[in-house]
Amino acid sequence: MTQFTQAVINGLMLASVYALVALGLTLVFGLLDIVNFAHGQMLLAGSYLVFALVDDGQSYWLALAIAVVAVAALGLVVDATLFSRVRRSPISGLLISIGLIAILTDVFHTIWGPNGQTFPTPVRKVFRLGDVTIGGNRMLVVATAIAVMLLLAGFLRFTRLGKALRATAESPEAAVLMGIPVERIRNLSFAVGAALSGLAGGLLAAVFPVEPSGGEGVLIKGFIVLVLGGAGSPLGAVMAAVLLGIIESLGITYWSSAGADLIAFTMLIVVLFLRPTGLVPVTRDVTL
Amino acid sequence: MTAFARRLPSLLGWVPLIGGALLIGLGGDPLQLHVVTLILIWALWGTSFNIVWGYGGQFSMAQIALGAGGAYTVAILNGQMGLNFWLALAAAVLVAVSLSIIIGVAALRLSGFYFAIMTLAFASLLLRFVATWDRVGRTTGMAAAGDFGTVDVGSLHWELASKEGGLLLLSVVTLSLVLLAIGRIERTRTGRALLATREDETLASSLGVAPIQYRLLAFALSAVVAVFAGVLYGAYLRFISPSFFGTAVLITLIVQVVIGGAGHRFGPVLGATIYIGMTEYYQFGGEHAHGFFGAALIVMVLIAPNGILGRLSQLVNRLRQQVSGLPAPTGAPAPTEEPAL
Repeated sequence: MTQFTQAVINGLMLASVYALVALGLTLVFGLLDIVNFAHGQMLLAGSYLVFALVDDGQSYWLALAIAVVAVAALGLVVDATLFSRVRRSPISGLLISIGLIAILTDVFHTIWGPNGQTFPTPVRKVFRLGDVTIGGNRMLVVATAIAVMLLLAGFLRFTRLGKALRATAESPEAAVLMGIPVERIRNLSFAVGAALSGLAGGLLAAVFPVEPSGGEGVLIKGFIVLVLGGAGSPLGAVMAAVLLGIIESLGITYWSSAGADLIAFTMLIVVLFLRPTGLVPVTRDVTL
Repeated sequence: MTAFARRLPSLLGWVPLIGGALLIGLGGDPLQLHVVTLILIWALWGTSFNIVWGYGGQFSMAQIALGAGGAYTVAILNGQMGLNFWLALAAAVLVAVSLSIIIGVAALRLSGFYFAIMTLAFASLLLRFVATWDRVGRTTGMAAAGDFGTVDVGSLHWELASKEGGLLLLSVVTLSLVLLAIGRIERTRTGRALLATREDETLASSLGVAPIQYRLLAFALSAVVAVFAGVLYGAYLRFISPSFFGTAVLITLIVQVVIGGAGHRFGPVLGATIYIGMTEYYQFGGEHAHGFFGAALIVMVLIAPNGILGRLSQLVNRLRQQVSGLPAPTGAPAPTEEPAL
């Protein structure tokens, strides 16, 4: 039972990261119809920046903030200079993001080399609940992710900008007629999506070593969550992330990490086959 | 002149093939042999991707994994168990075609990026499965050398599995046959129906062309070609492991086909020649080659989304129209706008 509880708690940590990644993908997909395959590399950019800054003697929190802003800026730049040129052609967007993977992987490899990088963990404390131990860093990941998701939900629901964003997702034509600067909203949503992946990367760096191949697995998990949650639905994404995180963690605990991946990929295939719209019924309430 | 101009792209496409054949005859230096063999293998792999994406309009991310399936099947049956190469190859084709039908039935109802993700999921599943299988060395990999038999022409004698010409010969013949077959299929009802579903699915359906059926056929054909490529690749490397078929390799394949020109029969050949020629022969970019070609992919998508051959055929058509006032040539229509997703 202890092992089970432990696995579920670790699963929640994974779920937080997947939820942040999938929310970023959802925002970009919902507003721009682009599947950004470079999302995993943006996450890695966040991880590496946090590592480099902490390694340089900065505090973890400052490093995390700088990394999030920097990755958001990166997202803004690639959207304004590259993706904005191919808005009418989703395949071109997909191809551009594949090109970005190659470029960013090369950059990371050149600067930081092929080996995993670690830094002193920001939280040393370990919490105990009966027999279950929870690393402070894992708590930090979950708490930060929940806080950011609540902030994002509030932003989307209550602010003018958030409403403009949702309006653009629902109907770009109508949004233009209402005087919403649709193109800028798209740039913004790409930047926010990138920021979320940068944050996920920065948080992940506190728990796992940072290595050039690290973006790939998380990206596929992000896609699984995106599809499971019904693309375009933030609430669905969060629920799917929790489901996937816990299933994966249980799979690792009771089988193997490769076994956990086999379950996850099979889940994606089955859901895509049976319910391409996702597990959660998409209604107006849960879409962007 | 115009007939020649129309045929120019396809005539140019045979150059690397003929050059490769010449190299066998004349015996170039080892580096040239290496580069040409790799170009031919990659051109085959690119052709497999071209069939499903360039002609069928479905962005499949499973072509590398299907090739891996072929390479592993032959490595087990021929390399480990000593089965006759051609029987092993037939088994590999059977495995890959069955896989492609399973993937196809599951994925071809989906369109756009869902199809891409579904094929990526299957590819990841397949490679993950290989990485947990003891018999094939899990993540470490396994030897892929085997006895492919011999060919004798007069006094000349080749071991087909040898890196000193045998695999080159096998690749030249396979690629030529595949390209000739595609040229044939382009002109048949099946080929035209496939192109019609790529250009306008709704219109094609309303004319009685069932898109799924033709796409499934294209996907199965592409799986066969992927197996040829994967088997030759494994045999050439002498060793295979799941990491040889990972994302970086998939990106390389996509880059080549986009640069050469998706939807053009010789696009993948041109793309492979440029990519492998630059990286392997001229050692262009060194360890940054991957990043450089990532940038090249982005530039191509922005300035010439149909690749070099797409741009060339556009120019040729424009010239023809100016010279003779004739409409664009008939035959296989080149992709008109950006490739489909």
